Parts: sequence; C-alpha cells; structure tokens
Amino acid sequence: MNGTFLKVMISLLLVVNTILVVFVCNMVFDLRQQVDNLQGVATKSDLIAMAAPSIELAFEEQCTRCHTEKRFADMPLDEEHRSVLLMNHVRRFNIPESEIENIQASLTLFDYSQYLTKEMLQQMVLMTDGERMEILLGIPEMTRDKAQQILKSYKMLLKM
Amino acid sequence: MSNHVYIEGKPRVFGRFVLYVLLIIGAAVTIWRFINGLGSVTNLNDTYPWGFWIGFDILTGIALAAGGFTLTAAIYLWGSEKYHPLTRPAILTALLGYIFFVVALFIDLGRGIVMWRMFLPWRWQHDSVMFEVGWCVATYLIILIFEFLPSILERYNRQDLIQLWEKITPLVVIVLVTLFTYAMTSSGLWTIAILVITVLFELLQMMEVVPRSRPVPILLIMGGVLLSCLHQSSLGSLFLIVPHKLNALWHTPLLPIEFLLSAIMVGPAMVVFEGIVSARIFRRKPELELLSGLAKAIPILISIYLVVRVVDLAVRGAVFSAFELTPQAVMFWVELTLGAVLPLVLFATPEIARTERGLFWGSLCAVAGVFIHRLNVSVIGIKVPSWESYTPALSEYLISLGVVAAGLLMFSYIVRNFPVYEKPAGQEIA
Repeated sequence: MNGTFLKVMISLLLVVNTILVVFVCNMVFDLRQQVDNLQGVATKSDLIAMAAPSIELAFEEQCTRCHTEKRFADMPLDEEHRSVLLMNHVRRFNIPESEIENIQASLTLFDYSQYLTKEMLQQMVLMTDGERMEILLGIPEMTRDKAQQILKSYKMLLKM
Repeated sequence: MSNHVYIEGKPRVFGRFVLYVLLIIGAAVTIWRFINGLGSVTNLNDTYPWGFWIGFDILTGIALAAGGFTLTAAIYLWGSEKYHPLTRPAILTALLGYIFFVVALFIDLGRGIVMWRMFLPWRWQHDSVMFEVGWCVATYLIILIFEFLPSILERYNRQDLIQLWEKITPLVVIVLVTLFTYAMTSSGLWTIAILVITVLFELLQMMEVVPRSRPVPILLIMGGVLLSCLHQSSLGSLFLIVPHKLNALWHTPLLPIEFLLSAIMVGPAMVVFEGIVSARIFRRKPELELLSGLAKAIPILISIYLVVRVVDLAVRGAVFSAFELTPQAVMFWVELTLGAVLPLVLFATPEIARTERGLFWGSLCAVAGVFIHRLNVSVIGIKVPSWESYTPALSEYLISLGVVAAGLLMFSYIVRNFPVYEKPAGQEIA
C-alpha cells in the first residue's frame, strides 16, 4: 500500500507541477510581451500616473441597485444626463453636485464601453492627451468634439 | 426474457431515518416558502438572483444525471455491450435527477406555475438560452421516461405493452425531435429536414438495411444523447452574459464546452459511484469488474477536460487570477486538484482503479469536482467588490437536502420494487 501511496503522490505532484509550469510559462510570456510593449524609459509623471487608482465607473455602484445596465445602454447620452438631473431635482434624490458630474462622466464612458474596455482605460492612464485622442478618434463615427468630451470625462474620473 | 432482479436488502435503518428527517424538514421549509414567498427562506437579492439552488439543485443535479446518456451512448452507439447491467441504474439515476431538478426549479422560480407557457408558440423566445434549456429538459425527461418504461412494464409482466413500447417509441422520438427543432428554429425547412432524416433512418431499420438495435430503439438513444449534449452545454451558456460578475477563472467563451466536457467526464464516474454506494447500502456485491472497466475511460475524459481548462486559462491570460490570495483562487485550486487531478491519478493507477475502495474515492472526487465547479461558476465565482454579497441561508440548504433525500428514498423504493439491477453471472444477492 505504501508503494501505491507513493506512486499516487508522485503522479499527483507531477500533474499539478505540469499545470503550474504551463501557468508560470504563460505569465512569463505575458510579462515579456508587456515589457516589449513599453515604448521608452518611464518618466516621473508616468510613475505618478501608474500609481493612479483604477478607473471606477461611478454609476456601477450607485445606479445599478435600481436600474439595469441595459437601461443605460439603450438610452442616448443626453437623455442619460437629463435623467440624472431629473432624479436629483424632481425626485429629490439629493445627489451631491460633484457626484452628479462623476456619474455623468461615467455614463459618457459607458456609452463607448464596447471600445473603451476597462483594460483600455487602464492603459490610457500612461498615455499623453494626444495619444488618448488618437485612440478616441479611432472609434467608428467619432467626432473631434465628442472625443474631447470623452477625454474630459476620463480625466475627471482619473482625479476621483 | 429480462435478466433483471429486485433488490431484496433494505437500506440501513439509521440511513433511512436520516433521509426521512431531512425530507420532512425540507418539505416543511418548502411549504413555508410557498406561503411566505422566496424572500422568507433565501438570502437571494437583486444582485444575486441566482444562488445555491441554481448551483446545487440544477447545475450539479443535471451534470450528475449525465451518467444516463453517457452510458447509453457507450453501450448502444459504441457497442460496449458488456456494460449493459449498469444501464438501468444509470437511467433511473438520470430520471430521478431530472424529476427532482424540475421540483427544485418550481421551488426556486418566483412564478414556477407559469412555466408551461414556454410551450405556447406565441411565447417562444429564441434569444433565450433558458428557453432552449427548458425545452431540452422537458423533451429529455420524456425520453428518459421511455427509456425506463421497460422496467415498469416488466414489473407487471405486460409483454403486450412492451411490444407496443417497441413499436411506438421511435415514433415518439421522431415527433419530439421534430417538434424541438421547430420550437428552436421556427424554420419549416430545418423541421422538414430533421423529420425526413429521422423517418428515413427508421424506415431503413424497418427494411433491415440498418440493423435494428435490441432491446432499446436506437432513435431513443440518439434523441437522448442529442438533447443531453444540447442542454448540458447550454447551462454553461447561461453564464456567458455575466462577464462583469463572473471571475475570470471561470468566465470564458468555452464555458458551454467546459460544461459539456465535465458532464461527459462525470457521467461514468457517477455510474461507478452509484454502483459502489448502492451495493454498500443494499448489502450486495458491487459489479467490480464492470465498474473497473468503465473507470478506464475516466482518466481519458478528465485529461481532455483538464487540457481544455488549462489551455483556455493560459490563452485568455486569466492565469494571474489563479495566484491571487482570494477565496475564488483558493476554490479554483481546490476544484482543479481535488476534482480533476486527484481522480485522474486515482483512476490512472491500476492498483487503485481495480479495488472497491479506490473506485469509491476516485469517483467521489470526480463527482465533488463537478459539484465544486458548478458552485464556483454560479455562487463563489460571482463576487463583485462593493456590491451586495450573498451567503446561502440555512433554509436554502435544508430545501436542497430535502430534495436529495426525496430522490434517494425514491431510488431505494424503485430498486426494491422494480427490476432495475441485472444479476451478473456467478453473483448472488447477499
């Protein structure tokens, strides 16, 4: 029985080890790709940007308790902003002014969440405004004014 | 004449007592749930509308019932005739699994009473995965009833009805599969194509161009395998719509395939587990040779599943999540090592896979692995920081345990009163 137990343990460790090796190789490969993608030496401002908190969409925490995400997805941007103001002034939800701006900025980004994924928003932390505009203008049917508005919302959320 | 026998031994008194207690408590809490509503017995909320019941009663229950279709496919489609004695217990397990799945669904749904509306053509919703699962389960349940009917008819010695069963079963399957195709596609073309293929196949058998399988019509088996594969994978598809809620360790476009592969993997393991446990409970000798033979397929099936899981995680770049110190990462490793690697090693070691104890522990690990996987996908993996949390209420566990107890008591009653187990040559009932 001892021989069988030893055999089982060795086989078990071998398989788990194989999985770990595959995982670690994958992590090393990913890391190498990320290093390859670094375009230059990081500056002090890059390091500060890297320390910035991750982008959190304010409405995800506060609004989705009552509304579904689909509701926001189906609604034009202007209407979304009007709805937030309406809820505050007519329905007397008393959302602070600063919070309204954050929610509206979040909804602006949410409207383009198909293109601006969380990973993309995180990557944009390290970019200059010019590079960010380049990405935003790459979105189909994007106008310069709209891109400026999105960039403003993005920068507002970065300061949160 | 059938070689099936009745089980003469009764399960142990203490075991039966525990099951009856669990059943009574479960029934009482269920009555309470129907009087006072879901909120009175569950901790479910708007953020977590699906909880322990979906993970355990439905996802795990359906996966563990996969033994029925995997075994019938192995025997009747791939000609592993020697495993025939294991078929009826596997079909019975599947049948009871699906019946109690429907019972659990009635308890879990807010308005389960309107479930029948999915059969009304003007209410068909082709964008819904649940619509497909609902139809699949309903049609597969009918197929399982037909697969189990010979046991009931043999019990009452109705040879005339058995002959009638042989004649009408292919027609029933043709009608079911055609209707299912029309419900899923609303396409006359597809419906006619399926109707023509199935009718043609039956005609070829009648003209003896294609050999007719005995004792179970091959169309019945094919229908069962088709519907099982469809809804086993669709249960995984249900979770494709929550990429923002389900942890990256489990959310993958391959979720339907992983659900199907794990169901196929756990099918034979469940048959082995049921064979060993029922033998112990009813104090009879287990079909060790057959179970060991069946267990030889399990390491291959687990290996395929493991390779898909590991490669998928690596390709999606989700490996980092496995090394975080979170409950999800811990449960992922428990699921992978206890539920996949350990049974793989146990079943791949001949000294262990030949013994009753080895088969028991190996199959238990495989079954537990699928249980943990389903629970990870439906409850543990769904964690979003700063959102509402969910911990199952005691009453949720009690209702689930009551459903399981009812299933086990029903199984015990049926094997003692209907010819389910086959008497292998040279073996006596203890």
